[in-house]
Amino acid sequence: MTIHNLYIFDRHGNLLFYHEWVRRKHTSMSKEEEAKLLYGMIFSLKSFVNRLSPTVSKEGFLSYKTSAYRLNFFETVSKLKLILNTDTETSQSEIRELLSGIYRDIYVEYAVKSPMVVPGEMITSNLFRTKLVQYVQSSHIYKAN
Amino acid sequence: MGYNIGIRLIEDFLARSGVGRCSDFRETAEVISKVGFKMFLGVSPTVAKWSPDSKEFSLLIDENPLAEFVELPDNVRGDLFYSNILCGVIRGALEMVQMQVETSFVTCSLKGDERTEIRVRLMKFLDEEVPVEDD
Repeated sequence: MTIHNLYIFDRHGNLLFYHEWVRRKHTSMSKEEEAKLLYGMIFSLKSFVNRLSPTVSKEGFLSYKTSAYRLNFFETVSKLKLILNTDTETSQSEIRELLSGIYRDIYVEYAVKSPMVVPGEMITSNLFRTKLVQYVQSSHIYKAN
Repeated sequence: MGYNIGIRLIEDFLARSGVGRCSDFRETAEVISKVGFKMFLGVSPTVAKWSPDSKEFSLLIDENPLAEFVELPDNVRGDLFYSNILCGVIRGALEMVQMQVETSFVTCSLKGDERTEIRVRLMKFLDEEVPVEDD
C-alpha cells in the first residue's frame, strides 16, 4: 500500500501544497505547469462525469485507476481539492477516510487556523508539512519502503 | 473582519459537522441556525420571516452571547451595530460555499430591542471558476 504524492488545490485552482513520498517518474514540466495540467484535467473530468452520468448522484468523480497507480480525488463543500496518488491495491474507502481525516485534522487545524497561512497562497508552514507527513505515515495504509 | 473569520470558519464547520451540500436555500438557513450557530456560539436562532420567493430570511436570536455582558456607551448607542461581525461571518462563510448573500441587522438587543435580528438575502449562486487556458 504505497502512497505516492499529494496535491492540495483551492477553489480557484491555485496549488496550495504538494508533498511527495515515493515517486519514480517525474514529468518534464515545472511544478506550476504540472499543477495546472492536473487541475485542468480534474476539472474537465468532473464536468464530463456529471454530464454523462446515467444516474442522479451527489458525488461525481472520485478516482481513476491505471495499471500503475490510482488517483484519488476528494473535494469539500468549500471546493478545496485533495488529490492523492496511491498504488492500485489500497481500499478506496480507507483512502477516503484518510483524505477526509487529512482535511479535518491537518488542513483545518494547521492551515485554516494558522494566521500565517494566507488563503490562495502556497502553504509554506513547516508545522503543516510535518503534521501532514506524520498523519499519513501513522495511518495503517501507509507502508514504509 | 467578520468576512475574514467567515472564510476560515466554514472549513472548520464543514470538517466538524460533516454536512454535505445543501439542496436549497431553505436548507442552508436551517443548517446555519441549527448546526452552525450551535457549534460556535451555543445558541440556536430561529429562522423566520421568509420572503415569498424564498430568497430572504431572518435569524432571530434571543440571547446574543457576544453581547451578554456588554453595555453600549451613550455616544455610540444610536449608531453602532456591536455584533455586526456576525453578519460578516455569515457572508464570508456562504461565499465559500458558492452563495453570494447580503446580510444586515434589523434589530439589536444592545440598542434596546428585545432581541437581535439579522436579515440574510441571497443575491445569487456563484458558479465554479473555469481554469484559464493559456497555451
